[in-house]
Amino acid sequence: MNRRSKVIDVASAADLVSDGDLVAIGGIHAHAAPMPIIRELARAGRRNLRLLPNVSAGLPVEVLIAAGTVAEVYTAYVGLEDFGLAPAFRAAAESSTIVVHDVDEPFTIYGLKAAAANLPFMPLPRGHQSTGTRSLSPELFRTVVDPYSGNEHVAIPAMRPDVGIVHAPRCDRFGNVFFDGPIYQDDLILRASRTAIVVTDEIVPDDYAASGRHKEVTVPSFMVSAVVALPFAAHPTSSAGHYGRDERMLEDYVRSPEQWMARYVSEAHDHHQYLERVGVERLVGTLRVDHKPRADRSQT
Amino acid sequence: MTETCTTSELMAVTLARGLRNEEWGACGANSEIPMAAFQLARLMHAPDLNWLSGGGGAINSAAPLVKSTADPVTLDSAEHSFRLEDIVDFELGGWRKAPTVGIFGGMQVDRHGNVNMVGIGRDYPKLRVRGPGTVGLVFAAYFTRTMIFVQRHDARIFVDEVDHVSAPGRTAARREFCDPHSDGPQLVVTPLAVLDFGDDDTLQLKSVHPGHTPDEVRERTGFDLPSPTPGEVPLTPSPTDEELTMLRERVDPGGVLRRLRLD
Repeated sequence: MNRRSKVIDVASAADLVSDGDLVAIGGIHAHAAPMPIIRELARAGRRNLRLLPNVSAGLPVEVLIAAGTVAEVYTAYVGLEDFGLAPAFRAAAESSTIVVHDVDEPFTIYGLKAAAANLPFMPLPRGHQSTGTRSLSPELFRTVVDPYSGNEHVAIPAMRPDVGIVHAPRCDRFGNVFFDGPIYQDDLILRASRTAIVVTDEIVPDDYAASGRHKEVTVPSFMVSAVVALPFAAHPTSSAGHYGRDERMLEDYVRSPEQWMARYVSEAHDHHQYLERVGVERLVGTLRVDHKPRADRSQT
Repeated sequence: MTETCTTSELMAVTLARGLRNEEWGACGANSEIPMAAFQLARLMHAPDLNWLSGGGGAINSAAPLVKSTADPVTLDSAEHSFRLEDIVDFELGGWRKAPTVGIFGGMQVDRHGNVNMVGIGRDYPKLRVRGPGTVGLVFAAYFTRTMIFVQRHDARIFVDEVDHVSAPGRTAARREFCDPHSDGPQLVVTPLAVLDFGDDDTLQLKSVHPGHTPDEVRERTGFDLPSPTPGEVPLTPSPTDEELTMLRERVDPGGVLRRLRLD
């Protein structure tokens, strides 16, 4: 009997996300966002999603909010880095059409870490009380007494996403993941989520991982539920070893978010239509042929 | 110095001079100026300074300066890469072998060096301007010391009291809750001036950049900015030829800093 391939198409992957789910999204800023599934969820009209995005999220959260799919965001940061504030997030938050839970990097990371380790919560070292963040989200940041020292600590709850969606430059059919560049929090998302989906640019051969490359496999196959393989799977965000972020696409988004959403999300019915709308010249312009992050690049 | 530098280059050099050998430094996103400062300090006076390039996790990256700290190319010439889990463990105070220094900015900075990134407006959650969020500013409560930089200097940024404390400055809450070795902010570098803290833990005008005046700086600051000593406020020292050459040839050959927009 053959080992089961976890490769599915993007529409089937989006079907793994239900209305109201807590959804974690990987990457950071305009890097390694699992955009094909994000666009699919936006077009499919999911409702009331609760997002636990990466600690510095931008475009994927913008697209989901602009499409009206989001009810709540647990956020340390939603913005567009050097391109400024995130317009859809800002408008939805200022008009209270979404609920924003202001958290911070320790909340997102230790919330996922606690879920991955099957711990109920995580205490933080003393010091957090000197910030005002706890008073913004008192239901999330509570306090606990250290049973050994008697000191009071701020605690954060385990955050177990219903679905976690990340991008990886390479993966095999079984779900062994190769984060060739930065890992960000994407290992934690895959470990903590009930259903874990990887969107990848490249499927490596079946015998690749087990040919002396176990250290390159950042997350093993049994922590991954499904794999979606598409060219330019993170575009317009970057993919380590493949292409950089498409700065013109980000500029275009900031200039006219509605037109951008129509052209690249609602009217582009699948990933290939999306790529056609972006155009060959622009896609090729993002390729980074001299960028070599892989340990084994000299051997291949 | 024969060649004139841009304000962004002057800011990078000023921050670099404030970094110490054998410290461990970190910056966040949107941080071209701190990234350049860390690299320049390592080339000049602090070869044993270690530094983290934002959420991408690159440790001691010597890559030519790019706009995004988390860009995968920062790993091309890095010694190691941290996952976010490593970053949070470390920046909350885990496994430290050396003093730590964080460099960050924000939407509001007040006279005590508190920084806000949540948004403008006290009536939470009904903010007048919804900001991006607290990001990694919580780590200001745990770093040994911090430096603040802003790319715009006006009375909207420099306010008497921030609307929300994302990063604690030199406050009673810091003294009550933080490790006694966590000193808080030391320096604020802006496009107009350099500020530091007086004995009462409030900001004062340390120097003004060439081409600007103390009056102009005070007019564009939302609280009183005394001078530490009577008499003229000194000019911010310009980069030396060596510093500027290192910066342009080794750190930022692509001219990212020279193209950076400051207000």
